[in-house]
Amino acid sequence: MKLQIKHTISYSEADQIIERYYEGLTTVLEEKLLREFLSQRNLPERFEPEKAIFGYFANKKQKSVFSIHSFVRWASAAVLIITVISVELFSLKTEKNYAYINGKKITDIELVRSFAENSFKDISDDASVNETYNLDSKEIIKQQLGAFSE
Amino acid sequence: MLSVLSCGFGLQAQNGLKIKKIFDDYANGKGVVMVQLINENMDGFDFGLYKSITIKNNPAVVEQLQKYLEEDQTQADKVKKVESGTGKESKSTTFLLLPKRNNRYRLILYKYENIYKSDQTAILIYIETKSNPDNMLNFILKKK
Repeated sequence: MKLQIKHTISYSEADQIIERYYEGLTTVLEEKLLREFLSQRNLPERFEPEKAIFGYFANKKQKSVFSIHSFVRWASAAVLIITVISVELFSLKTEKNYAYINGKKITDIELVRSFAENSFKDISDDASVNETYNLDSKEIIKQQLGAFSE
Repeated sequence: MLSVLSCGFGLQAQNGLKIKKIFDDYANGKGVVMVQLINENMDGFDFGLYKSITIKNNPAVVEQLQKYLEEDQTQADKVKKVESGTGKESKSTTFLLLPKRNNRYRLILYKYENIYKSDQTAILIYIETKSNPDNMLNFILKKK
């Protein structure tokens, strides 16, 4: 509900705006009207809490005014950011193990493991390589010296 | 959360190696099989990071790979090369043990096989592990 009152508002209108204010539904214009209303003297005692809230910010002479509306907006943004980061981290974790076969992505861990084991087999199917690698340096020197003594 | 962050660091550790570009550029190409495992354990061996890429019949990429491998070889603490076969069938295998990073041994295994000049296969494996690298290589090479 938007009120188009330019100068001041009635007590009942102020009550309505205050109610909306606490629900975080007020517009900038409504908050401005409320601030003007609360800056009046000799207001009924029931407006003291709101007067204190608005008075505190008025004394600060800052352009930014505390508002539940903006608080809700910031809180929503924070929740959204946290959610996005959580989803990103989760997807990073679940996709850390994968394989590409001809451009097709596979994330099934058992399949990925089997492809890894296949690459072990492919690289190890040369007996001469195994023999050479498994020799330690002493054995290699011994073999090399043996070649001269033959 | 910590494990996820450690994954990130694990992947970062591959930086500084030229062969990283092969994994980055050709992982999802045609005729290519690329595998990535992070923080896996196989037969008691730690695979903090395991990456392998198998490229078939793509001489241009293989040539680039071999060039990068030679550059990375200059960083290696240990190098083992084996060449076998003559004429129509030739095989060459390279093992590099790189300096430890993030408390992990880093290994590169590369094999190139050329049969009758028409069937060419290149396999490149990059491993980061806390396991003893010699024992791990023996484990891999005995896989059949």
